[in-house]
Amino acid sequence: MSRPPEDILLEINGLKTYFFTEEGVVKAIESVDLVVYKSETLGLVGESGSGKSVTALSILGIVPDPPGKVLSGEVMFHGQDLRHLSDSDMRKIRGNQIAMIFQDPMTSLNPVFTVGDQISEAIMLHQKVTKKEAREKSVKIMSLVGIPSADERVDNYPFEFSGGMRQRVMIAMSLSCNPELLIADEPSTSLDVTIQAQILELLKATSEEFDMSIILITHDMGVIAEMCDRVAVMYAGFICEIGDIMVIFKSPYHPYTRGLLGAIPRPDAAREDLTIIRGSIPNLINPPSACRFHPRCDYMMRGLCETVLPGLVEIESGHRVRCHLYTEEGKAWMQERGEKREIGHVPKAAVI
Amino acid sequence: MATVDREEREEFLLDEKTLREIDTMKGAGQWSIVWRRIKKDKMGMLGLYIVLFLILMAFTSWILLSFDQFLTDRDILFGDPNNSISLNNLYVELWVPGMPKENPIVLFNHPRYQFADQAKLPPSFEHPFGTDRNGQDMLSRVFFGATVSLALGFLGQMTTVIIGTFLGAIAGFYGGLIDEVLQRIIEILYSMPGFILMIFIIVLFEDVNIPGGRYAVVVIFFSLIGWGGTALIVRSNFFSLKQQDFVEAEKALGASDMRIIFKHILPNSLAPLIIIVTLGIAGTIFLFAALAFFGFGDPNAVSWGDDLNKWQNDLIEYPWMPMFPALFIFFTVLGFNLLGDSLRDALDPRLKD
Repeated sequence: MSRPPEDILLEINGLKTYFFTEEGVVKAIESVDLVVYKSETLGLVGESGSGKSVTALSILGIVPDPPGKVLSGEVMFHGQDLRHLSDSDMRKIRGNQIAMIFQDPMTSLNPVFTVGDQISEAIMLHQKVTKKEAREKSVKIMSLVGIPSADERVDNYPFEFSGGMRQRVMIAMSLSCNPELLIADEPSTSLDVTIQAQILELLKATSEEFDMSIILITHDMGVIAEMCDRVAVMYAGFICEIGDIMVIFKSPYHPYTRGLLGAIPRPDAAREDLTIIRGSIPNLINPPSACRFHPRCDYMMRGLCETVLPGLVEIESGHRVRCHLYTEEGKAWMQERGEKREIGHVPKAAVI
Repeated sequence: MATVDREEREEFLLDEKTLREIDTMKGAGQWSIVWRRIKKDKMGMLGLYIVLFLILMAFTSWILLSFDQFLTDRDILFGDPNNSISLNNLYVELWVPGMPKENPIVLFNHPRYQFADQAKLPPSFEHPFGTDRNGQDMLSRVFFGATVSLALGFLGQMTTVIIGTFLGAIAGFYGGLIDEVLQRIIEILYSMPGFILMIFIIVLFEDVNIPGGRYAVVVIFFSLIGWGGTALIVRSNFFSLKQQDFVEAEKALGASDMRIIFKHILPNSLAPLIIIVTLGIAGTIFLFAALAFFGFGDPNAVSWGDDLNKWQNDLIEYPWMPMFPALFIFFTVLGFNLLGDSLRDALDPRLKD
């Protein structure tokens, strides 16, 4: 299921971000291609170090430089490439049209200012309002994100808030300018489970209320299943599979996605061993050649996967996979050797 | 719309109530904690009182002298302002209250007022600190000398701290080449003998005519070579603070670098800066007094260091002349050091009470 091109809010093509450290060049993102449609929630899932957060920072152009650098690719937002905008133009977009919330609400707020000051500042950075109006707006938005007695709490310092409330403040801050796109970088990871559910619920409600798109970065498949319309699976700097959430959860095409889904314990499934992905996540200074997943892949085609990088193959409209199982080269390889490699479906019991 | 269900509300109200209780019990905020810690520290409070007393003294004497100057400039005071010998047009007098007007006991005179035939008098009821060789009342000299002595310390320290903070903040935030260059400059500054360099510069610029006289040269040059320590401390502070998530969050909100540096990171490194200023003022006052003592001050200025220099040879014969200015320098340095030490302890976040 794909939507018409005029519904596209953000389109990333061939994004490439490296970190030039003293130990060597960390090839954090090799090629990220994805599309975010208007008022949808896109899940970005992958192991730690797969480049999810770096993708988010690259979109906003706030990759710490040095050592990081966005080398190539385009980030099209409303028809303009964010990578070619001037610094001051980019600042007008950050926080205003594209907002971001971070993983750890404990440290993402400046400890020496009241939360009201910080929300007001976010408003005043992008709108011509007086301090008083900004404050009134802060109170309004704080009560909107479910902070009780917001008119009193607005003068409190971050340390007077609990973790969940701080994350609500962060959300209030990012919503304060009605952004069209919200990048939520593991917004619920550092919170306990009940608060997690509340925060996710809040994000879902506000995204509907404000009609905004969300890129939800997480490594929690449960969160993805709950929240997202589409999901992009990242591995070692590549998007390896992107598509509709139902399609991907039901029949993943990429061996890695399959491994991820197979590794989730399910209370409803018949007792059986969880599948594992053998090996561990590669060192990104010396990543495996071509398809970076090949050393861990059960379907690896010797002579092909480690030499030729598979392109993104469109399985069906809106569902794209980067794997040689579906490329012409891969099919030729299989035909040549008379071998048939096919990814099985996830066992029936594991399907949601 | 985000709906907050009732359960959550109730749970939270309880939370807030506890918070309130904690608030009323101990008062929130970093500064009230700091204040409580200083209050507990007896030596720190002594230092604070000394510093407050000196600041009050400096301000009072400055206002009085400015008022005197104001009246003199408008010929409201009798006497001849054009005649430099006729110093009797300097008429600031503070009387002991309740005395008859015809024959009052004068507590403070103008610092340049010369009592005829009253030179070299030892401390007495009339002149509690005695008089010097010129027949000037030492108490008045010491009282009015506070302005220049303290102002020099403040000015010198503030300029170095401002320069150091600015450069250290930029270097710490951006790192890289800027940081390398700054560090090399600081190393060069550190490897030069500051005091001798100061003397050299003062002699070099002896004839320069700028407002503020020789002390302006001293302060300007001091701030030009003295910012290294502050810059290093601020730089290392920024190195750790810029890694904090709130900096990234602020970037994502679209704040400019300058805004992040000066509005968000700098307030977080206020504590070390306060300590630098407090402890530094003592050192700066001491340095300027030492310069004056060795004759590199301004002989026309009314300051403790210059008085000390003027009467340094009279220590045996007329001990009160150099003693009282020296004593006040000592108390100033002591006061600021005590307060600074106390502040350092009070602002230490690792300390919990």
